[in-house]
Amino acid sequence: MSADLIIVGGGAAGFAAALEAAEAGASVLLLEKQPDTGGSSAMSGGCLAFAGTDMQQAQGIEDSDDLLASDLRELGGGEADDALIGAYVSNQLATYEWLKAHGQVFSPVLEASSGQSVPRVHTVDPADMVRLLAARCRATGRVELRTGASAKHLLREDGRVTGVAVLRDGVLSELHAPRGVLLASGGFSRNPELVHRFAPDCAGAVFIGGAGNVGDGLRMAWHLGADFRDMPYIKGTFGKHPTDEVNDHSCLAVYKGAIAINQDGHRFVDESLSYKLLGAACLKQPYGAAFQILDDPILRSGDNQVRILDFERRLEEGLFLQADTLEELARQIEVPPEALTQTVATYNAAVTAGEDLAFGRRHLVHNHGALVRIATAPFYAYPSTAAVYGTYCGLRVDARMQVIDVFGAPIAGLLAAGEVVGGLHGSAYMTGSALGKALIFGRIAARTALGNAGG
Amino acid sequence: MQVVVLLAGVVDPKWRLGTLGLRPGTAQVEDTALPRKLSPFDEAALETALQLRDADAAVTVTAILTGGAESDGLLRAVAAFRPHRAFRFGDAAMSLWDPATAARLLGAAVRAATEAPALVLMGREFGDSDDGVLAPALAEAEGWAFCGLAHRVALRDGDILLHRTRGARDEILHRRPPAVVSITNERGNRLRHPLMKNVMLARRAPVEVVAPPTAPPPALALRAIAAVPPAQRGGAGRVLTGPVAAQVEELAAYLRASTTGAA
Repeated sequence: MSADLIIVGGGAAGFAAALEAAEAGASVLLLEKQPDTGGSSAMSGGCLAFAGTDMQQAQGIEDSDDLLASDLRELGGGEADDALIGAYVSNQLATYEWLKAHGQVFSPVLEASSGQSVPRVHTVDPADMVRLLAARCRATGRVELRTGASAKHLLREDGRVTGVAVLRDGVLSELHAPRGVLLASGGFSRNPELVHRFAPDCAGAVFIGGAGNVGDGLRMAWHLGADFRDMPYIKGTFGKHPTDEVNDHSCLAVYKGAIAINQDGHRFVDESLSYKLLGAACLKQPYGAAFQILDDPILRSGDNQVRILDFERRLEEGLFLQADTLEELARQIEVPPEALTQTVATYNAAVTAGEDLAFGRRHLVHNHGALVRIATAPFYAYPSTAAVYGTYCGLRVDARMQVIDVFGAPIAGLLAAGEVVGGLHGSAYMTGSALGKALIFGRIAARTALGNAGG
Repeated sequence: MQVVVLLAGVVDPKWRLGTLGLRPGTAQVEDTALPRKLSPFDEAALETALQLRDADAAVTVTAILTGGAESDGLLRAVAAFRPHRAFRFGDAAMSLWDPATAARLLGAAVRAATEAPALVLMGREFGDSDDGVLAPALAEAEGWAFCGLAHRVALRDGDILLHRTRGARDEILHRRPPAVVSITNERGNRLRHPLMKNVMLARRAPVEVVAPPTAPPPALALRAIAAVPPAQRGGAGRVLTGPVAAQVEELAAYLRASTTGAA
C-alpha cells in the first residue's frame, strides 16, 4: 500500500491529523505500536482548554484568545515558545467547532483548573473522543490503520524524510510516503531511563501513561538531529493517590479550597499554582507525599463530571480519609494533631483576613475563585503525591509543526504533534492544553504536510 | 488480646500462568518469577485485624505471611499497614494441597507469633485453596473454636462476636477464644490504603523471617502442577446489522421470545 502521509501513533494527535489530512483528500497510513489505539490520550482526564466557546458564552464566562494566550504565557514562566502559543490560540476555537461538527459531545459543566483565569476546561470522555475520531477516519475511506506496527527509524532521501522502517509481526519493512512522516507517538513517561536522564528529581513520582509511551518518536527524530524544548520542566502532576492503583487520575481538591499539608502537618506551597508546580513542591516533602485537607462543603463542591474534581466517587471508593474532628483526622494520617489544628486555624484566619502571609495564596486556582475556610465537619484528607502523566516536553517544532534541528533548520518531510512536541508549556502546564495541543497541533501538522507537496 | 492474621498471597491474577510448574527435583511450586499480591479474602482478613487494633488499644496484631523470599515484597506491603509485628513464615513448602500437613505448619506459624492466641483470622480461600478447608482443619488440629465466612468481627467482654450472611439471613455468632475465623470479603472490610510514609518506611525496614519446624513429608505427594488454560468463550453473541429500526425490532422480538420462554 502507498499513502500520501504516514502518521506514527494512534492517539488524539494521530487521529486528528489523519482526519484532517483525509478530509483534504489525502491518503494516510496510521501506525500504532500497541494492539489498541488511544494511547495516553484515552487515559487522560479528558480536559480540553478552549476559549471563547458558545458553551462559555451561554454560561456568562468571558474568555478570549488574548486571555488564553496571556494565561499560557504567564504559566510558561517566560520559557514557553510564543510562536507555539500563537499557533494554539489562533487554531483552538476552530478545532472546538470542528470537534463538535464531528459529533463530539462535551460535559455541560465548565471548570477552572490549573493555570486558568476563567473556567475553560471543556470535558469529554477521552477514550470515546479518540474512538470518534478513529471512526470518522474510517468513514473517509482514506485512512488505513495498522496496529501492532512499531516504527523503528526514519528513512531519508536527499535529506528529506520519506518514510519509516516498521517492525510488524517480526518483519521489518520500509514504508514511504511522498508527504513525509508525522510523529504523533506520545511522550516517554513509561521510559524510566529517559525520564531519569532529563528529570532525576521525579524519582519519587508515580509514572502513568500509555504503555507505548517510551519515547520512540523522540529518539527517531533525535537520531536525525532534532532539537528539544522544555526538557528541564518534566514534572509530576499533584494529586495522585500514592498507593491506589485503580484510579489513575489526579484529584485536585485544592482547586476547590483544600489546603495541602506534609507529613509534619505544615503547608508547603500556594495551592492555587499549576499542579505541575504543586507536584514539584510535593516531591520535596518528607516521603514525597502530602495530604489535601478539606471540609464537608469543599467536598460537596466537587464536580463528578470532571475527573480531577470528582470527589464523590473517590469518597465511595474509600480513597478519602474521614473524621469528625481535625484531631481524629490527624491521628488517621499520622500527622501530629496539634500541628494540623494549628495549620488549619492559621489558614482560616488568613482567609478571613484576606491575606495568606505564609504562601501568598489569593485564589482557589490561578486567578479564579475566592478562598474558603476549612471549618465544617466532617473533615477529609486525600493522600497525594505527584504523577508523571505526560512529559510535556520534547521535539522543537515551528508554528507549522515542522521538526527543527539543533542548528535551527527544519528537517524536511518531518512533522510532529501532540505529546512528542515541546515548547508550548514552558515551565508549567495549563489543564486541557496537552489534549488540546494533540488535536490542534495534529490538524496544523496535517495541513503543513499537504501544503509541502513533493520535494 | 493477641490477634494473628495468616496471609498467603496469590499470584497476581493480571499475569498469565503459562509457565507454572514444579522446581526441578522438588515438590515445590515454581512461581518465583510471578508477582504476588494478597487475595481479596486475605485483604479482608488483614483489614478485619486492623479494625480490631484501631478499636481497642489492648489488641496486638501479628501478621504472618507464608512463603519464600519471593514474597518479601508482599510482606513489606503488609508491614506498611503497621500491624504490631509482621513476619514471613518458612520457605515455599507449605503443601497446601495436603490440609492436614498444612494445618500443622500453620499451627506452628501461630505459635511463632504468640503462645496465647485469642483470635486467628485467615481469608476464606487461604493460598488459593478454593475448598476453604484449611481454616477448619487448623481449628480442628489445635482444638480451637471455629467460624467460617465471617465478614465482621468484634470483641466484647472477652468474647468474639462474628457477623456472617447465609442466604437471606444475617447471623451473629459468639465464640470463646481461642478461635480460628475465616473471613469473606464485604464492603465493610475492604482493605484501606497504606500511608505513603509507612510504605517508604516498610521498604527500608528489615524483613523478619521465621523458619518452620522440620515437618514430616506430606501424606499427599505433589507430582505435577499446571495452569488450566482459560475456557474458550464465544459463539453465542451476534452483532445486529441493518437499519436501526430493524435492529430494534429484531432485538425486541428476541427479548419477547426469551421472556415468554422463561415464563
